[in-house]
Amino acid sequence: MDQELDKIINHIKTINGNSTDINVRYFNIHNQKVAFMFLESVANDDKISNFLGKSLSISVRSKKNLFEDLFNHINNTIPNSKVKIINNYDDIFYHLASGFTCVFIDGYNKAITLETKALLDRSITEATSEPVLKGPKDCFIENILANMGLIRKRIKDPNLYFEETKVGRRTKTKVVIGYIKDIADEEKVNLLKQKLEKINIDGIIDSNYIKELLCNNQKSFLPRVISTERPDLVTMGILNGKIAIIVENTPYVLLLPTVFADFFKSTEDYYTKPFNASFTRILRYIAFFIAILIPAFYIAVTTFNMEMVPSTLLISFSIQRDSVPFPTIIEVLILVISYEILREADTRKPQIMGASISIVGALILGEAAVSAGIISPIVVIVISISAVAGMGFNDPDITNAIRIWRILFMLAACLFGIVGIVVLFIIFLTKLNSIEVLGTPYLAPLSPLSFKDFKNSLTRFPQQKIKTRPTYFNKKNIHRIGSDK
Amino acid sequence: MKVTSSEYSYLTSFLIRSLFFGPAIYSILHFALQDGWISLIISFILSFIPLIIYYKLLNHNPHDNIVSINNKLGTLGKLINMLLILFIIFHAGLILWNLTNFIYSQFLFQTPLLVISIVLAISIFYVSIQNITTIARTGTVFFIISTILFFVAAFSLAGECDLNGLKPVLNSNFSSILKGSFASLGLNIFPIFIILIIPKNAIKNSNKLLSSFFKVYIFRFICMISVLIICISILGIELTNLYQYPEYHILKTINIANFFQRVESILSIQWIFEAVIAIALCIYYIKESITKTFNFKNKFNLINIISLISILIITKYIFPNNTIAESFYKNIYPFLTLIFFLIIPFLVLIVTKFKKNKY
Amino acid sequence: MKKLLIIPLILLLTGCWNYRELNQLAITTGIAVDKENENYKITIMIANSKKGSGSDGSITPSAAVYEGKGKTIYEAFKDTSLSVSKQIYLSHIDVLVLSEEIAKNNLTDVIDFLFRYPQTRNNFYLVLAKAKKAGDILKITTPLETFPSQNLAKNLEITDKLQGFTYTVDFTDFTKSLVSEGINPILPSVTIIGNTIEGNKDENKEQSEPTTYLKLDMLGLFKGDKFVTWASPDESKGINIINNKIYILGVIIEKENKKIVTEITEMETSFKVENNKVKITVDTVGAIQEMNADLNLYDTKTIEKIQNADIEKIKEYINMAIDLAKKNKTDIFGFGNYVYKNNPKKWNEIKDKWDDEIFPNLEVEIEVNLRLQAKGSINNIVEVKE
Repeated sequence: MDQELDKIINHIKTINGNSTDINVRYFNIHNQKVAFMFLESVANDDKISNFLGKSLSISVRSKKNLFEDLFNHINNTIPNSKVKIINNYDDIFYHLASGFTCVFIDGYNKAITLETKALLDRSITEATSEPVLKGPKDCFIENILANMGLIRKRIKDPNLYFEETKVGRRTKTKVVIGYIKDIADEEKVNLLKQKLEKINIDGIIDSNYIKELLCNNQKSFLPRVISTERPDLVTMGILNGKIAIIVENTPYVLLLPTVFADFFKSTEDYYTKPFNASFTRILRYIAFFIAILIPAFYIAVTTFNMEMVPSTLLISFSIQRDSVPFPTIIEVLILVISYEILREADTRKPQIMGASISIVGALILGEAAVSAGIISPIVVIVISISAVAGMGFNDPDITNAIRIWRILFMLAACLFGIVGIVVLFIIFLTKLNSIEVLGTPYLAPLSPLSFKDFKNSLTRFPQQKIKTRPTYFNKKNIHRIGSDK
Repeated sequence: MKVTSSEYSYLTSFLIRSLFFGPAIYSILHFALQDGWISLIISFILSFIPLIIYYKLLNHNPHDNIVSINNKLGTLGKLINMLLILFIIFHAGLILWNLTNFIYSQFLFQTPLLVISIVLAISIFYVSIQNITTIARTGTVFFIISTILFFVAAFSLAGECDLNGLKPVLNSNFSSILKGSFASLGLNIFPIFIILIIPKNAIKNSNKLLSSFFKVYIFRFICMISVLIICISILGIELTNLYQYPEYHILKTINIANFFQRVESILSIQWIFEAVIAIALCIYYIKESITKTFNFKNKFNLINIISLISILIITKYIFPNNTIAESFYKNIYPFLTLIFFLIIPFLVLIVTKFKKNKY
Repeated sequence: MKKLLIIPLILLLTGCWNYRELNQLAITTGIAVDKENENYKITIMIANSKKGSGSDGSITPSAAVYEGKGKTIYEAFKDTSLSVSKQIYLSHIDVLVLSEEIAKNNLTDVIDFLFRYPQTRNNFYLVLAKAKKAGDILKITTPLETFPSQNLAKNLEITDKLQGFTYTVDFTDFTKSLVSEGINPILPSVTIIGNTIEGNKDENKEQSEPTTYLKLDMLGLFKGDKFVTWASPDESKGINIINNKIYILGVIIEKENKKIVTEITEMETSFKVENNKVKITVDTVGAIQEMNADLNLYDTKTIEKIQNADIEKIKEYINMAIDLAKKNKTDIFGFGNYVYKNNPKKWNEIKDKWDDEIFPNLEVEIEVNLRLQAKGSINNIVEVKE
C-alpha cells in the first residue's frame, strides 16, 4: 500500500471504476490528513456518524503515534464493532464491500477498518418451503451470522466449530462449515475442506452452487446433499455427526454427508409419537417406489405380463382400451408429460393464477381426455396415483429424480415388460450403491447392512431406544443416550 | 476397495444359488427323486471338504488372491490362470444361458434368445464395471430382497404343503442319492471358488468371516432344501420332474384369499438378481485375473466388454436345445467343476505348501 | 453410458417381440373340447367382446364363443383363430370342459397341450359335460354372472364348500393324481337343464326364471386317463368322505317315514392299508338341521339314537363308494398310494396287479366317531298343540 493518502484514495477509486456508492470524507486531526472511506450501499449511516463524532474528539499524545492512538481510541470507544488493521488493497476492498469503513491517515501504509455494516437482510420468518405442523417455526435467512446464530443458539457445546473459507473469485462469498469436533469424522471434515478449496468459480450465488460443485457425478439424478431452511434439521444433523455448510446470502444450509434414507425423514417425525412417525416413514418409502414404478408396472402388466392381472380386471382394462388409438406407452407418456407441464406451470405462475391452471388441468387431463377417447380411464388413475405419491417429498431434487426414473422405467417396461423393469432396477440399485458422499455409502444402513441403524431410518423408535448416533457417519462418540464416552 | 465379511458371505450365496434354480433342481430330482432333500443334506456335509480347501487358500497369504497364489508357481501358474479364466467364462455363459432360457420359456417366448441375453448383459455389464465394494453392496440389497421374496413365497405355500408327499423316504437307492448330492456339489458348492478372487486383507472385519459365512451358508441351504420339500410335497415328485422349472410353477399355485395370486413373476425376479450378481462376480474374477497375470491395463473396460461378448457367444451357441443342456448339467458339468474348481486349487494348495516348507 | 443408450433405441426400432396391446388380445376364459369323428372340436369363450352396453353408455363386457376343428388340439386352436380377429390368449382360463368321449379316449392329448403351452396357468377347473356336448356348456347364458365360464367356476367353488357330493378339481390336482402312483383321478360333471338352443340366446339371461341353465351333476370316475363310470350323489358323498374333501355334508336318516337331517360341519378322515385290509377312521362333528320326527330331544338317549343312525348312514355312504370303485376296478381313493408311500418295496411287487386283483378284494373296516354338537337354535322339536 502506498503511504500518501491521495494515492490510496485514488487507487481504490480507480480499481472500482469510480463507482457512485464510494464515499470519502476528509478530516484534519491535529493537522494530520485523515480520510474515511465507505460504500454507501452497504454501510450503515448511523454507525458511521456515531463513530465519526467519537473519533474527531481524539486526544493525540504525539503526531508520530497518531495511527496507534486512533486505533486504540476507536477500539476503546466503539466496543460493539470489529476493528482491524489492514495493509493491502485486496483486503480493503473486500472489507469496504462487506460494509466496513476504512480510515486512512496520511503517511501510513495501513488502514484501520471497523464494521459499520447496514442490515440488508429480512428478519427471521416462518419456514415456507418445509412447513411443519408442530415444531419450531423459525428458518434461516440470507445473513450468514444470523444463520450461524440460529445453530449456535441450539447447540451451546464449545465443541461446535465454525470454520470459514471464502469461495468465488469475484463474489468472495463466505462459506462456513459447522460441525461438532468430537462427533464429526475428522477425515470427512478434512475431505470437505479440500473439496471446498478446490472450487474455482467466479461466483457463488446460492448454496446450490456449492452443492453442485461438491458432487461431480450426477448421473443417478438423486440428490446427495440435503439443503434445508430449517435450523432444527441442521441441528439434528450436526448432532448426528454431519457437517453443515452455511453459505453467505443463502437461506438454505447444506448438510453432508447425506444418505438416501435421509430424504425420507422429516423433522416432524421427532415431534410426533414414534409409532405415527414410523408409519409415515414407511408410507414415504412406499410412495417413492409407487411413484417410480407404478406407470412402468402398468405398462408391463398390460402389454407383456397379462397373466399377473386377475381376469375380471384384465377384461375391464381391455374393454376400456378398445377405443384408444395409441399404443399404451404413448398413451401413458402423453399423460405423464402433460402432468409435468401442468406442474411446472403451477410452480412458476403466481398463486393467483393457480386456480385456473388446476381447473384446466383437471378438466383436460381428467374428463375430457377420457371421453374424447384419447386415453383410457385406468391410465388416468395410474398416473394420478404415481403423481400424488411423488408429491410427498418436499425436496425438489428428489421429486425431479422420481420424474426421470419414472420415465426411464416406463421405457424399459415397454421394451421388455417385467424383465425390462428388473434389468433397469438392477442398474438403478447399482448406481445408488456406487455413490459415496464423503465416504459414506449412499444406501446405508441397508447396505452395508446395519440393523442397529434401522431403528432410526426405516422406522423411528422411541427416543430412549435410539441409543446411538448413525454409525455410518462417524465411529467415535456414538452414544447419544447415556454417557458419551 | 474393501468388503465386509457379511457382504463377502452374501456374495458367496449368490454363487451357490446361481445354478440351483433350473439345472441343480433338475439334476438332483432326476437322480434322487423324492429323496432330493436328503441329497442336499449330504452335499451340505460333504461341502466342508471344498470349503476347508478354499479357507486354506484364503488364509494362505492375506495379501494374495487366488490369482497371485497361482502366479507364484511361474509358467505353470500362468497356465492354470488361463485355464481358469476360460472355464469361468464358460461357467458364466452357462449361468446366463440358464437365466435366458428361463425368461424365454416363461416371460418372453416370442423374443429371440440372443436379444434376451443382450438385455441381461446390459445390466451385468453395468454391475461388472463397478468396483468390488459396489458389487458387494448391491449384492447385500439383492440378498435382502431375495430373502424377503423367498419368505413371502414360502409362507404363502406353507399352508398347502403336505409332508406325506415326501414319502416314501429313502426309496431311491443310496448311489442315486449320492449322485444327486454330487450334482448339487458340482453345480452349487464348487463355484464358491470364484469368491477367492477377493484376498483376505480386502475383507474388513475378517475375524468375523467364519461366523457370518456359516450363518448365510446354512440359511441358503435351508432355503434350497425347503424349495425342494415344498415342490415335492405340493406337486408330487412326478409332476415336479415333469415341469422344466418346478420352482417357478409352484409359485403359480399361490392363492391367498383370491387376492394374493398371480404373483409368480414378481417372486421369481430374485433369480434374475442372483444370476446377474453371480455373472458380474465371474467377470470381476476374469478382470482381476487378466490384469494380475498379464499386467494388462483395463482401459475403457475392455476386459469386461470382451468377456461379456464371449459369454454371450457361449450362451448363444452352447446348447441347441434343452434336452442336451439338461443332460450336460446333470452328467458332465459337475465333473468339470470338480476338476477346475476343486482339484486344481487343491493341487495348487499342496504345491505352495510344499514350496513353503522347502524354503 | 451414452453408448449403452443406443442399444435400447435399436431394440425400439426393430420392434418388440412379445409386445401385445391388450385390445388385440382375445382373453379366453373357457375352453371346451369335443370330439367329432376323427377331429377335435375346440370351443373357446372370449370374454372381452363388447357387444353389451350399460345404461350410462359405458361398454360392459360380454362373452363370445368361437369354434374350430382340427386333427390335433394345436390345429384346432389355429382353426379357431381363423375366425377371431384378435390373438387368442390363454392365461386366464377359468374352466376346461371335456366331453365324455374325450374323457374316454383322448384325455392325455388335451392335457399335454395345455401343459406344454407357456401361457396357461395351472389353476383352472376341469369339468366333464355329462350327456351333452362340451361346447354347448359354454354357450348357455346365465343371469348371475357375466360369463358362463365364470358362472361354472364359481358354481363349482361354492358347491364344493356347501355340498358334500361335488368335488372341484383344478389342473394341478388332476395331473397330479394322473401321474402319481396308486391313485386315479375323479372329475365333477355339469349338464344342461332345458333346451340348449334356447339357452344360447341373450333372452335366456334376461328372464327372471331362466328356461335353460347349467347344473352340476355326478362325479366321473377314471381309471388311469380313461373315464369309466358315473357315481350317484350318495356314492359321491362316500368318495368325498374317504378323500377328506368334506366341508359340509347333509346326512339324511329316515325313521318311520319321518326324516332327520344332520349337517356335518367338520370331518377328518384317515385310512390305513395293511395286509389287504383298509381301516377307515372318520371323526366328525355335526348338528341337527331339520327334523320331522316326533322325538324328545331333551332325552340323551334320543340323541344317541340319532347319532348311531347317522354313523350307520355315513358307513353306508362309504361302503357304496368303495363298492362302486371295486366294481369298476379303479382306486380313486389312493389306497395304493398309501401302500406306495409307506411300503414302497411291497408296492413294487404288487403294483401291476393292484387295480385288477388286489384292490377289488380289499377288506374294509370303517370306524366313525360322531359328536352331535348342537340342535340348531331351538332345543326340541316344534310341538304343535291343538
